[in-house]
Amino acid sequence: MSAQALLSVRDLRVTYASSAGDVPAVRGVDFELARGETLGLAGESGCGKSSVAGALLRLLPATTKVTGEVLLDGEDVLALRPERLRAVRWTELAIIFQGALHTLNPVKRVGWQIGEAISTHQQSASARDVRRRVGDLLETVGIPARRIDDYPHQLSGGQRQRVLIALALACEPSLLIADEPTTALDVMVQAQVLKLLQDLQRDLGLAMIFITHDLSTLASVCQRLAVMYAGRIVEEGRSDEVFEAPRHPYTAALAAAFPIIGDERFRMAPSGLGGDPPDPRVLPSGCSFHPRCAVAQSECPTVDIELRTAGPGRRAACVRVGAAG
Amino acid sequence: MSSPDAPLLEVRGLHVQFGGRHGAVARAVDGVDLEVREGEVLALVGESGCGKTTLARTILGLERPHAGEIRYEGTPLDYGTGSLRRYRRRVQMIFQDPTGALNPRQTIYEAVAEGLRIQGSSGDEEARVVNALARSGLRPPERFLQLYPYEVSGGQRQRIVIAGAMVLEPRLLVADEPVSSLDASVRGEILQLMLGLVRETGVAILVVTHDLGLAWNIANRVAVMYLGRIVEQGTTEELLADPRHPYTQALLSVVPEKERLEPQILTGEAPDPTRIPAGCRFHPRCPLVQSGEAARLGVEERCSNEDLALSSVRGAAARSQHAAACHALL
Amino acid sequence: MTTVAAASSARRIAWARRRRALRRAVGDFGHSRSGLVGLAILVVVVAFALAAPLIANHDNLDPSKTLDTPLWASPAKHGPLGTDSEGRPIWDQLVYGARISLLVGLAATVIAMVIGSAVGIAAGFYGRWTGAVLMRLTEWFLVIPFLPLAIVLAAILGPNVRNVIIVIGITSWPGTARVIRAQVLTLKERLYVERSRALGASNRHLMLRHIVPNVSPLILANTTLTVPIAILSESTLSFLGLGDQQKPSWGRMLDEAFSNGAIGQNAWWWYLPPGIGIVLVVLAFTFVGHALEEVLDPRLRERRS
Repeated sequence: MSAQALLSVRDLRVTYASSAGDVPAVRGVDFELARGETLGLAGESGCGKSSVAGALLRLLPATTKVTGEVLLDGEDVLALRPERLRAVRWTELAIIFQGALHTLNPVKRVGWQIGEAISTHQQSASARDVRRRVGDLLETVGIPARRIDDYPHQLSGGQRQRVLIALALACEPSLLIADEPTTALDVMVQAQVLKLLQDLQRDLGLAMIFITHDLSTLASVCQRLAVMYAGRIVEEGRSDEVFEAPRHPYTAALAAAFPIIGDERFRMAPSGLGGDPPDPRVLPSGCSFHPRCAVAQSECPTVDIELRTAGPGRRAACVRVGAAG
Repeated sequence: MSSPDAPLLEVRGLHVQFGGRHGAVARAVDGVDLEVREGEVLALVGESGCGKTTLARTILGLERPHAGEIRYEGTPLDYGTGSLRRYRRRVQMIFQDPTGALNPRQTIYEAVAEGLRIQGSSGDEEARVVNALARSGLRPPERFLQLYPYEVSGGQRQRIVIAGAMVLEPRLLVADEPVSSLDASVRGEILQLMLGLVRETGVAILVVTHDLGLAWNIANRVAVMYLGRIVEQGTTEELLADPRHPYTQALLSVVPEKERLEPQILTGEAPDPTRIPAGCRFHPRCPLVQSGEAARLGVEERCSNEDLALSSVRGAAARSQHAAACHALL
Repeated sequence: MTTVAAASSARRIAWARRRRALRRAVGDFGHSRSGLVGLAILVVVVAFALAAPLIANHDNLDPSKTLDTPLWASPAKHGPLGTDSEGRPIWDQLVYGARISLLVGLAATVIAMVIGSAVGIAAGFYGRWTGAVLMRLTEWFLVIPFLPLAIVLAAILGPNVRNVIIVIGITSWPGTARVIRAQVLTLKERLYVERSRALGASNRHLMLRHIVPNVSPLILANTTLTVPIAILSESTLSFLGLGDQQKPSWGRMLDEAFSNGAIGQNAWWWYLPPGIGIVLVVLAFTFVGHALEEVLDPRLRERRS
């Protein structure tokens, strides 16, 4: 683990318990994040990216088995005692969930909800101080402070998402996890929220993990990119490199799913991937991507493949990539 | 039949309103003219609240317009029970949420056969269902007949909805955000399917979407909607390579896949349809107004006070249909 | 494959699926301990009631006959459950009383469910005028207090089993109608209903193919929960002397026990058996009803996949 890494995740595994048996949602994920850096985590439903986010904050159901190491500034989050965990949550590591409408309490004013986060961690703060800070936070995210007493339903979708961002920033964390923050929003509102996140990251020196299925969004917002499939990272590297010259066939397919407007290659030629994202309960043998892979080799159905070095700062889990490294 | 140049579907001066009596009136569709020709794919692009879904549902006869008319093959839409049912053999719908669109208690067979049974079609029902499923890419179709929707994936459910619509052999498909709730890797397959259907059966498709990339992928023509009106339309190439209306330009500039334009992130969100601004409905958010460009061109007065319709853009090719509703272009 | 054979094979497949779904539902029901207990109790009680001619003596209940049995006899003296103040065996009253209680409970429930479902579905499906009128009608019946209405009707119509059934039926249907209507309102907005409309469906098709099948589980569960209410209502009416004086019923047994001072005489064998019987049957139906609700909830079923 490098000295400056804010977050270091080693062999993270998350297995959900269900009546039908264990469901391995995350099967060994490693990555590092330096201070002020943004990492994008891309993937589709069932790939485990939201489980990674939940595991980092230990928000998963009690019956879930989480193993591995999550070092936040040297402390293993997975091994923290409950009091220390509560102290760490929100003040060092905060999360913005997807589905803003359902994440905010509909019967409490937004100012109260943000204030709750502040007063939970700073019991000594006076009500007036809290209110002032909430007002400042709202302004920071682009909402006029006078809306502090509005209820969630009085705000638009984009404004609610901003409230969630303000809520996440309430205790000045050093790491922000954004789980599909723009998925349900219109493209213009998406652009506004993304710009806000970028500005905040620059002004506050926040490290960010940005989780979404939209690879093109990640490429423009994040410095590094990791693509997840079937509970594992299948490609990782600098976002522009990964997006422009993907080494793993799944990354290539994901990138091609969102066409470049103006590029003749995509005109009247939608690019798709056959089959469906795999069910974590019934994973294919060998390389879990092989049933959908256009360039599968003879050993792919039998040999499970690990991440290999595919260049400086690049890794891809494909047999066609370099030698094991 | 109708002459080869006549459009399959024609919409003229359509107005659809909601509310009234107690609340404010929402003018969801506020004067729309539209044409869909045989075998073409028209993308209706806009953000939420612009009225595109209302327009789609009105074209299907699920909403009644307050003013204006819809003509199919030249004949105005008749809302009588029998004629509406006959109309629905010709015009069918694909939905945004394929899971919600299928009755969880019906088998896939019943879901696809439902249209045939409602329309009282004679002939071999099972063969037509099997054929429709196969054409939607569900092979072998027999495997799917007795399954329930929850036993297949999201992409497969959308194929089932498409099969259920195509089994009636319609001439026009109205697709409301057909891939927005599906996984990204599955998206392309469904779009390929739709293009394939156009090529094989000559069906026309009106795709309602917020995704300009989708328009680039499959549409021949694009119409951009804002607050109940079409503000720009033209062929996909014209519109996406040379957008003229400031709203289209802004939309295009923030699409991450298109990096040429400087991102123009509009402030605020689109006002709701109960409070449509006077004059050009886009003027409160228009970058031309905010940057002073409109004042420089001398049109700012008109932007704030004069409503306007689509007019052909200057410099377009002779028979181009590229049109936009912007004072700065006149 | 010929047309007929093909269509019938599809239908056979559909029926095979339905049978499998039924077996799974039964299996799920088996997981609910309270549901099984309730079912067991019901089976016993119904067997009890059906076997009445075999296990009890109807003649003993005839008020015109004089019996040579001891009065106020405890079960030790005259089994199996002793006798009442006129020497009539409690056992025979209990067994035949079960019949009346169950009969009235079920019959009244059927009336309430038929009216309630029809009104609820119609009110939910047809909005505007039809819905409004039906809802006002429902509310009118809902606010009528049960007991005063029952007393008035019993006085007008005369106290017999048929009228008791009618009274309970008339006062129970509004509750069902409201619950059904709420569910139908939700179902009406479902996307698959809109899809069916887009395919050209008539209102009749929507009702029969989409609304009714999806509201039936609720109706079934609601029925099972209405029966105990009807039985309690019957017991109440009989206890107040509004029931059929010719026929035995558990409520009437309680009425006679109390008015003849069974408590003072410590003749527990007179009032405990019918009281416990009512409680057991009501509990049993409630357990089964709740278990059915859980099993038939389509949301749970979908998530199970």
